[in-house]
Amino acid sequence: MNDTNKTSTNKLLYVSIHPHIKDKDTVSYIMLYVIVSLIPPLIAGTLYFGAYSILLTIVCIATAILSETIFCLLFKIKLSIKDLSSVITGLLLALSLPPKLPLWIAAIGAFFSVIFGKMVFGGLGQNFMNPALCGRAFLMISFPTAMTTFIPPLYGTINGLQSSLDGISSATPLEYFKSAINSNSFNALDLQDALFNIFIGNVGGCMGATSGLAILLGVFFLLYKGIIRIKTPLFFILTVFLMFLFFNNNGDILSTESLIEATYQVLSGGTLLGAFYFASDPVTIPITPLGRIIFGIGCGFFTFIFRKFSIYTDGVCWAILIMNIITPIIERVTIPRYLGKTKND
Amino acid sequence: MFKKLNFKGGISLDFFNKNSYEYSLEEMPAPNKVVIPVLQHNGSESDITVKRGDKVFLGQIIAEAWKENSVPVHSSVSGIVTSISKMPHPYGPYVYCVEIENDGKDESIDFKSFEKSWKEAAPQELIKKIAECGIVDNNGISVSKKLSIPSDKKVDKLIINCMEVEPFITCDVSIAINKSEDFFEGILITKKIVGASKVLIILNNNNSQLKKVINDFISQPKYKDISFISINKIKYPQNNDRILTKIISGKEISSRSSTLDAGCLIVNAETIYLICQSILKGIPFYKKIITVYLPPDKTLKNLIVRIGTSISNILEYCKINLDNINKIIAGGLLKGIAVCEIDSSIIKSINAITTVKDIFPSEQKYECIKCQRCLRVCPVNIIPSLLVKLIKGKKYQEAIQYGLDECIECGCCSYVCPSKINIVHYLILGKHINNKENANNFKNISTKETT
Repeated sequence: MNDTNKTSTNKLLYVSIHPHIKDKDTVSYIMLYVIVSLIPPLIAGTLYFGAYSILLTIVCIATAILSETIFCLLFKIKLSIKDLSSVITGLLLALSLPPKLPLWIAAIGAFFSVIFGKMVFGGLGQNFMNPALCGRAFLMISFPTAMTTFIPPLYGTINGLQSSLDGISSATPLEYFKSAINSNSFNALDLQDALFNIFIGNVGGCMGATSGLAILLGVFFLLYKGIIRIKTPLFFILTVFLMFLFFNNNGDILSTESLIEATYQVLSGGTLLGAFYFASDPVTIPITPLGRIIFGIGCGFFTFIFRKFSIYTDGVCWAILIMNIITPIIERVTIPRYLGKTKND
Repeated sequence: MFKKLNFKGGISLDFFNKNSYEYSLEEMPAPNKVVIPVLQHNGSESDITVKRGDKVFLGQIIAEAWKENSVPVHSSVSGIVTSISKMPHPYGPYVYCVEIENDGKDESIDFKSFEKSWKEAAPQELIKKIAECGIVDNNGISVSKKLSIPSDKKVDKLIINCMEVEPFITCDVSIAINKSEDFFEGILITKKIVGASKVLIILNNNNSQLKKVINDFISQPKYKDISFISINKIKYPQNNDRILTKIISGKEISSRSSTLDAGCLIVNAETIYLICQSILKGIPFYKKIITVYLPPDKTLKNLIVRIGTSISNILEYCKINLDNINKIIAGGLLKGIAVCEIDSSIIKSINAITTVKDIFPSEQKYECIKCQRCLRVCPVNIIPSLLVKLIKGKKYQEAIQYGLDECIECGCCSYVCPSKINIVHYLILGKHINNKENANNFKNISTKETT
């Protein structure tokens, strides 16, 4: 044996299964991109509702991280806060809370989100419901008054109208819309005035969900980076739009009024935030391509039902939670056909 | 006739091949000692016919095929057999190897070319000659077996694969460019053997050098039956048999059928060249053309090496510093097999040597978040993450129902996974366990019948 052989046999080589290169993206990266994309709604919320929004967000995020850490230490499992999913949970929860919610309620919500929405099922990837929505639903049931007390933005009115409809001025756009229909004082042209304010978010509502503009900014970033896919949100929003267009209040489908009404439903409330963030959370929605379309349509349908008939004004939260629950069934029936599959297989 | 030459899924690797076009061939001098494993392909070991101390000549048979699925092995140098013992095979197991001390003279046996012109010979005779020369393709399949078409099947299209799909492998294209005379003659011979009506050469659209060579040849009347298809988008795993058949013929084939069911036969460029060598000159398969990736400046070298040259010799010849690498891959970065021992030798089915320095940690980092990326890149449209879940839960039968058997083990899913799960590992494991269970069931049934 010569010298070269001796040195080379001492060399230990790595052995692993192919492929020997991997993509750079990791779960942490994906989460980081989502966090970055949520900064515009947060800024918008701060601009419209004051610095208290920042405080609310910090409390939510801190509680979320803290609860996850304590849970991990308590049950002696691997610390998983590095994947940043609890930061997203806290952030999304804060954005979907009323702007002047007492901090202790927000903290309870964040705690419930992380522990009962995610950790008890085994952490990220095992939960069947969106953690932030889970926490929000809990708060909606436990603190209904606090959760439906909305304030007007700093420089606008609560329903986006410039005036004067004092009798219903404590209502958010959606509440205003519902009560206007019930009292037959509905005027679509009023809404047309309000539409711009609603789009930029200068209305009352959840802290980060009012500004469609800010949400879309973040969403474009995510779409560009390929983190979320347009399919589910698109079918969600399209279903909401079409349902309200067909079952409108003045009977005429193609009139300007009904178009405004449907647009209004898409822009107001949590529709955009829900469609692009909660209904795009990969863990809790079906993995199959067809399943994702069905999921989007189902969310839109239930949103319509809840907004039209239930006592809750915003149905997005409940609609997505219901669809989360039936996700496994959707997955099972929408398994794609693999290459070369014949009828006998 | 405009068809969309694309397929669902796959990963685009344009950024890898950018500056790697290098098609010149270089002959590596024969090493002082070759170690030739008698297992050179996916089959069974051949029977050693030489003893320790024997004098062997270049091209002499040192191990004979004794079963249907073994191929003869030839000596790649002339010299003395110094030992016959179990030594590491590049893919892991210890197999019997013949170690030959090179005397440097390259005294060869008389290479017997085919007696008559190949145009008059029957396909069976040609296949017999190919089998004697021990030709194996890059997937480790015996070529003589591959070319013997069952009587109930018909080859409609003979597809010559000249694509560079895996990053840093150009050996097939370099053969087609540098040995183009032999290459095109080989195409005619293969066409005659399989009785194909149409020959298609598949190449990448941006490969202008190869395109020029092909255009020069197919303008000659002799090669008028040959045509080529250039594929615009380079996507891995285009070179897989089932995917390529789908692209070319539009017919889907499952894992249980072969490409012949769609009337296609896919052959690599190097195989074509070797067929020509064996029929026209009678040269057995003792030289292998491999691409070596040189890590520091990211260039390639196409080497002609003797079979049995040890990998450490090749690395030394290419001046690759062993301190800078910790993983050697026989094949490409995506489908290659990691080599366990640096002293194991080149066998017939290795087409490249790639060395890497710890590009990624291979353990799983996060749980699956169902991001759908594996499903999106899967070329056979199964759901890798769902199958992993089932296999982890030991539900193998259910996994089979969801198409586990269809997996072509291309590794796209592992490549894109943001949780860094070794999906391919689980899929191969699941297949293996399922096969084992099936075999056990079969055994139980047969023992019941006999008792």
